[in-house]
Amino acid sequence: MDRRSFTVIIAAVVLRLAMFMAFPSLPDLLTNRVELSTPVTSFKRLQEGLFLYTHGLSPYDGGVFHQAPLLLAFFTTLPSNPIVVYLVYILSDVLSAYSLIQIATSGVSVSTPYHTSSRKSSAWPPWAVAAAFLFNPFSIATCIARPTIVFTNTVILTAIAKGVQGQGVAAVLALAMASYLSLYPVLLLPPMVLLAYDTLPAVKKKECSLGSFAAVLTSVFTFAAAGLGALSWGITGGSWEFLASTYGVHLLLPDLTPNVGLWWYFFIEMFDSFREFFLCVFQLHLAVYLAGLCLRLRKQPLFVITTLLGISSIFKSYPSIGDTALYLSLLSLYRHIFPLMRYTFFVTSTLLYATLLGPAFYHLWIYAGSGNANFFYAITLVWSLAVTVLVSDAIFAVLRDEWETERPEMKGKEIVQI
Amino acid sequence: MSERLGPDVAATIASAALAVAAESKTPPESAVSVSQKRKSPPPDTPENTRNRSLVILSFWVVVITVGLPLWWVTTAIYRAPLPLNEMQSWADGRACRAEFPLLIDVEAPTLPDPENLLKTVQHALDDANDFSAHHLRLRLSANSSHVHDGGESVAATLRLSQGAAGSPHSYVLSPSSRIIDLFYSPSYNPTSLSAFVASALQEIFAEEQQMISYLLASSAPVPSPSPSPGGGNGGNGVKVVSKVNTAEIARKMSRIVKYSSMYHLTFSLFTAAGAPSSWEIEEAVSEYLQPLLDALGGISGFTVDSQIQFYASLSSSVVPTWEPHSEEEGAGGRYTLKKEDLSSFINSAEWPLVSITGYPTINFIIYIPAADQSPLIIPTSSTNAFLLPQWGGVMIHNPPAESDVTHLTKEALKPALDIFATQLLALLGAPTHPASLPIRLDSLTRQRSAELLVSASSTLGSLYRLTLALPSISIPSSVSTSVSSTLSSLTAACQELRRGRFGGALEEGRNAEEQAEKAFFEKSMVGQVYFPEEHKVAVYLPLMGPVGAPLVMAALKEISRLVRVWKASKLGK
Repeated sequence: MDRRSFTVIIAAVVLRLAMFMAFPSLPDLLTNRVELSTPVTSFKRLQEGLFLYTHGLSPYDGGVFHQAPLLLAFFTTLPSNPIVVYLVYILSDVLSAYSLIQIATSGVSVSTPYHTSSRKSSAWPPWAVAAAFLFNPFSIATCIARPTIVFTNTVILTAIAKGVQGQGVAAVLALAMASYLSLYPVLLLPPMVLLAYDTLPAVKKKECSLGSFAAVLTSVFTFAAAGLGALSWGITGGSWEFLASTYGVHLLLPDLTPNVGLWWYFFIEMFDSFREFFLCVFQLHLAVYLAGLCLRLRKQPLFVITTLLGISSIFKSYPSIGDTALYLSLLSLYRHIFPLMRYTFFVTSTLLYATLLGPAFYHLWIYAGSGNANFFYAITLVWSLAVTVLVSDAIFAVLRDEWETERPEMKGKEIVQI
Repeated sequence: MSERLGPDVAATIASAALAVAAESKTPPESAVSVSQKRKSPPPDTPENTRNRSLVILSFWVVVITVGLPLWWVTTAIYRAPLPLNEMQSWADGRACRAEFPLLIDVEAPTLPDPENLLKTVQHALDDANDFSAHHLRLRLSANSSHVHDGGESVAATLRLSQGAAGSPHSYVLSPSSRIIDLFYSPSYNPTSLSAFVASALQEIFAEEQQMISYLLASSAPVPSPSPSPGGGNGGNGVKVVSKVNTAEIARKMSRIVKYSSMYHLTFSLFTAAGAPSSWEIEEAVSEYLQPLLDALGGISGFTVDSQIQFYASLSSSVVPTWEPHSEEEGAGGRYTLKKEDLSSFINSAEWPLVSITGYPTINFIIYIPAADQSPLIIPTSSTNAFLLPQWGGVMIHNPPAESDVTHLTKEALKPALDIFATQLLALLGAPTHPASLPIRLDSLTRQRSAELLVSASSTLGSLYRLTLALPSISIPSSVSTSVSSTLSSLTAACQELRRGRFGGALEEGRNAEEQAEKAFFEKSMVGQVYFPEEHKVAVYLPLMGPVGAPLVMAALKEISRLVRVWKASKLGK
């Protein structure tokens, strides 16, 4: 880690501490924002669960708490000083930034064994990638609102960092942890296996085929996930209740609290008899891209991971700004393809528009009473549209980059898709 | 149209998402050409072609292997088999011909030829009775006074004894037992005595018979498309009803609270001023009303609570009129309520009379008028009370001027509670006529059994028609279970009635009614009642159309390419 990265991290820590200290009411204000805290990540709900847990009751009684039991165990070991909690969250962000620096240093985003971008010189240096994450307002707001998605993001980034360093087992262990915390990272397993396999030295690749490598890592993942489940079983006093209250909530959407995603409104309006069907459709929709992306972007598994994170930040059951922040920070690794993107202005302005109008419309709906649910839902649609366009535009740019690398004579020429 | 908004909006997003998929599916080598130069795009590399086929295949594999089975499973309509024929025959009244054979024991120790008398009386009764379902059966009980064959309950015991010399025939009912004491004139002739006995028995059970025939008749004309609308076998005596005073019975029936196995009684003291502030209602209820409630226990259970409401004003539409006393009575006068006032007497906007239980509440109200509106009188009522159909009873209490106004004693409440007891019986549907309470309660049991039988049957009929009319609603297995339980209870109730075991019949009828209601109001069925088939298009198309179109187009393109390749390879050979 060079001096600039170090400076960036120090500056980010200072900034976050300053935000916590200078505006004592800010953390609680942000914690209550639906854009930042979802039913499955909210810090407030975590405290409710902690209270029940420390008083010897089942934390899932009352149907408020939907988070993993290990988080409870972790938070009960902390002293109940808010500063400590702030520091934990800041540390988590620092670890995320550190992982990003490792990923950027490895250069996997510009050069893989099968593909080396012709634009690799314009990629950002590690410190800039870290800065793009640490000083992203979405990341900062997420850190201050203290949802547990922060830990999930850290673990996902750690997994990727381990993956690009060729430590496949460590990568899937971290991924198992991420999946344990918030279920959907389980979709990242296939590209993670590919990523780890690609970075293996050629000698090792000869010893071990992709199939057996995948089998080993998948079983490691399964055992790790099972181990975490068993540990949780022990923590919650020998009850499997947590499965239904955490993953069941992710899958079945019993809590229809508004968020930036698309599910809540849809399932409020849905006819009861079709609820199960559309739940299946929505969940399947998340999974359907996995194989296609892995096949098409086989040369760049890191970008598959990035894209899957982008897709799940739009279409998962309880998305928040923190998911989008993770996608944006991973996308900053692909600075070199930005010139190939076509809708950057549209995306940027739409994101800004949604960011500013979202809270305003939410206020109009909930507090002023002069708007209704459609106001806020419309803004979440705009937000999702912006992220969707960004995801598809990035895929387009990466594919164009691959194509230009193969055909350098086409660089800068206008093309049409047929 | 808010229902439609969800799918529409989601479809927009889904199509946007598919744009992602579509783009990822199209390899640039083949898909991109230089627009300035009009030359055909360079041929695809085999690797790319294979890759694209795999990508398209990967989407379709998920759709077909996971999506279609899930669609099948989650939208399958489960229709549990229902015994439709049986349900229909119950609804049409064909399954069971309800009978109410009333057994009457006759004790005639002093009569020389009781058998003969019985025979003539039975003949007279049978001849006079034109509602065959409800009939009286006489039995001489001289030797078998307490042998009840199969638990058949005895409706009444007729005790014949010689009356005082010179007196005509007469009968007396004891208010607390089923014994009818009939005193015949010592100088009797058998014909006149048998006629008298027959008419006495008819008189005692006339009201009950009318009620039951009314109940059964009202169920008979079920508007169902049954092929044989009961030509003779389903007729539960429609003709009879026309003879009796239908309007009078209908009025009586309209007062009756719908049957429930539990009722809640609320005793409320509404006073227009701040006094009285206490009343001995608990003691009064337990002393004056509890015996009746205990007696009714076989039919329904009761829970009781009470409340006092101070400064309870009448609603503004109720204005008592001042009526001065006539000359000879001296100074002063009274306030009177007109009949129209009574219907709006309950100030439902301000008086807290909300039911808090899951079962029906019957309200009894004592209203104490303000000093400046005292005494408040209902001129048409001797008891100064009135009954509100299916709701409860009200009594206006004018405390004597000299009494303690802050406390109502048990004794002061006795007249009110006596009235409430009468009103309760009326509300529950007990016949007013025979003086004997046990006989009236027995009548009530039979009446309620008939009512339950009729209402459970008609609920079954409604369910039958519903399932036929809406082939797309699901029928959960719980409905099927409830229906079969209803049917078996109905059959059992019918048998119990025939055997004259009315307590058991009520029990079974209660279960039948409960289960039938449970089946009909099954939550998952009710939700789908108003869901026409064409709505499915509106549910599926907005999301599935945009999602499906790119998938289908890509698949078609790929198939046409494969066909071309196949043809080319054939030509090449």
